[in-house]
This record gives sequence, C-alpha cells and structure tokens, in this order.
Amino acid sequence: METVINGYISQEFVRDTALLPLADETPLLESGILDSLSLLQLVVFLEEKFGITVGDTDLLPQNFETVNSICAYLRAREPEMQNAQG
Amino acid sequence: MDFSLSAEQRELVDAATAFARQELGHDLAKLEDAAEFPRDAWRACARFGIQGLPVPPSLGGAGADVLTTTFVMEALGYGCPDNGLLFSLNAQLWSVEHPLVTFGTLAQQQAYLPGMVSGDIIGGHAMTEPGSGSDALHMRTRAERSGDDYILNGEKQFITNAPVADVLLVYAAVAGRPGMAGLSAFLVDAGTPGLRVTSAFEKMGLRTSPMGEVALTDCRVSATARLGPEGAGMAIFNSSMEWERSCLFASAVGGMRRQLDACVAYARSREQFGQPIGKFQAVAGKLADMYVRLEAAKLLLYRVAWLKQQGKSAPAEAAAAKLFTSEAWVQSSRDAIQAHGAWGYLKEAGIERDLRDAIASTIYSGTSEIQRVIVARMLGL
Repeated sequence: METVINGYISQEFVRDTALLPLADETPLLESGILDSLSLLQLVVFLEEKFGITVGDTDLLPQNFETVNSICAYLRAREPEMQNAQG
Repeated sequence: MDFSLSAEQRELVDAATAFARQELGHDLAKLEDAAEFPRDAWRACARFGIQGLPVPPSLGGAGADVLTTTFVMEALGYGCPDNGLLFSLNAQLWSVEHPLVTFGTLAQQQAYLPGMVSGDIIGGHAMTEPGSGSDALHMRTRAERSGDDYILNGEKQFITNAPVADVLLVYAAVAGRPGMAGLSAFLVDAGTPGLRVTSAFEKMGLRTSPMGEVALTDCRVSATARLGPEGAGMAIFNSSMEWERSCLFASAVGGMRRQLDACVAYARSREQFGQPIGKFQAVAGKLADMYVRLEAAKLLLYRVAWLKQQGKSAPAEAAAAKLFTSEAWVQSSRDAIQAHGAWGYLKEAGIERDLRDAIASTIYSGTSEIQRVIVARMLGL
C-alpha cells in the first residue's frame, strides 16, 4: 500500500526532484506537495484504487499529512475495502 | 442512474413550482431598484420548507436526499424570477446549514439549525478576502488560541448575506499551523464584539441578495464556536463547494427552463411578415439551442447529485457541471433577450434581469477559469 501511494504522489505531485525518492514520513501538506486541488485528485485516486468512499469529514489534515498517515487511514477502512473487493 | 421522479418527488416539485409562482417574486422590480432583501419571501420559503431541506428531521428539517433537493431547487428557479433570493437561500443552505449538519456538534446544530429552518436565523459564510479568493490557503485572517477562546483578526470581502446575517461561518488560519493544517472555521454571531459588517455592495445583478464586507478586530469567540477540529476548514469548504455546485445551479437550470418557455410562447405569438417569428429558422434555431443547453446542463447536474448521493467525491464532475451550467445560463439569457427583440431589452419586461443575474454565476462558487483549472488538474494536467 505504501509503495502504491508513494509512487502515485511522487509521480503526480512532486515538482521538486530534490524531494525524490519521497520518504513515507515527508510532510505532504506543510511542504506544499499536496495543495487543495491535488488533495482532491488524490482522494479520487484512493476511492478508485481501493474501492472506498472518502467522506467529507475524513478530509482532515491528520489523515493526509504523510504517506504513512494516508496508509493508516486506509487500514482503518479495511473492512470496507474487503467488502468492495468481495 | 435513473433520474425519473418518484410520485412523491413529482408532488413536491409541483408544489414547489406553484409556491414559487404564487408567493415569490412580488414587487421584484421595486426590490431590485432598492437593492432590498425580500425578508417576507425568505420567511415564506421557510414556511414551505426550503431552508429545512438538507436538515435532519430531528432538528426540524426534511432530511431530503441530494437528488430530491436538486429537483426542488430547480422548481424554485423555474417558478421564481428573483434569482437574488434564490442565491441567498442557496448560500445559506450549502455554505452554512450543510457544514453544520456534516461537521457540527449537537450543541452547535441545536443552536442554529432549528432557527435557520424556521427562517428566524440567517447565515452566511465568510471565506473570500481582499487578497485571496480561490487560493484559500493564502488567506490572511488569523485565529489565535487564547485559553478557551480564539481571537480572530482579518478582513473578508464579497460576503453574501453578511448585511442581514445573524451568524457567519468565518474561515481563518490558526496561528502556528501552516497551510491546510491550520485552516479552520468558526461560527461568529452578529453582534459579537470585534465583528463589524460594513456596507452592502452595489451590484449589477442579484440585487436582492445582500453582500458586504466583514472586519474582525480582536474578535473573541469560544473554542466551542469552532466547527469541526482545527484544520477542518479545507474539508468544510471543499464539501460546501461540491454541494453548492450541484444544488445551487439547479436553480439556474430552472431559470433556463423559465426563459425557454417564455421565448417559445413569444415566438409562437409574435408575428412578422404574416407568420409567427418562430417559423423563421434563425429564431427557431436559437430556441432549439437553448433547449439543448438546458438538457445538457440538467444531465450534468443530476449526475453530480447522483454521485454525491452515492457518497462519492465528484470534484471534476461538479466543476464541469458548474462551468457548463453557468456559461449556458449566460448564453440563454442573451438569446432570450434577442428572441424578444426590443421588448427583451426593456427593464419592464423582466427579461434582461436574468442576464445580469446569470453573469454572476460564472464568478461565484469559483470562476469559470477556476473550474477549468479543477477539471484540468483532475485530468492529471
């Protein structure tokens, strides 16, 4: 999961190549890698890739601060992901 | 996707259309000239249940789903020519009530929503600033934590409903938390010391919808006035905008249908060279184009509403629907004037009003240019 998300963010949003390879603990919001529009693009990617719906109230900084925090958020949604796959 | 109306939805839409025709839009030319907010019409809408549409029944509302709400707002746009009133209603519904329903504590919901549903409380949201519009992360309004309170300082501009609002949802960046992590929203009651609402703007259209500036000078609010956690501001704003781009523009679709009906009736009755002007291909083609734009806008909006009903994010779809509908409304408003000739250009005919109102729709809720930016970004560009 970390590899998929890190790869997507690295390819789509990292403009400064000095930040690559992207560490899973790199602050995505404070560094400006994710802005308000790229965050929406990432949400659509996550919904399609993992078969979940990201609710309005889930779009909080703590869920998107780093690759690790995105993965932690997704892991908390694993039952929903399994239902979508099953 | 099935957009056919159930029997219950049909009954509600018919009732909303009849209500709008009978009770809204009275003395509109006079109200427009005076740039006067139609408070009686606002209260009539509350009695009908408009302000309660997205609010759960436990708080006095109807708890209507997105598609039903979209259909009702379209019916209002069809029956009511006062686009300013509809704009003010939509501003409260999607930028204040919806955030309260989605992010509010029970105490916040109980404090504001029953009053909004009854028409006694009017709300507005204060995001735009002199130096930032769509680029919300660069806002300058600051919220500094002080014990159990926050102290707000900053200026807001172009705030719909501000001059008549009882409460404003004010966005501010919490000091010490950069970027999105600090963006937060606060419910600030009118009359709070340090909150000042200044003069209403003189506008080209939407003249019955008051708009003003908001100044916050050491404005102290309790931490219990914060909507959602610190840093939830972007989530609240994005959520509001996606809903607004669907439901607000349903009223524009209703307005386009109203225009088309008027144009068809005129083209069938007005005669030149011994026949109705609608028999001339140049006029008929214009009206056919109005129909095509109307149907395309309707389907784009219904699809966004359907996606939202499934709980899906729909940033590209909402932006596309908003972009297309607003531009289509401007074009149809021009065509409506043209189809009516000199009569359409006269204020007393009430046809030119839609053009003045429609132009605003390409600006509010994010300009057409910003909608294209959103669509392009969602395409990975």
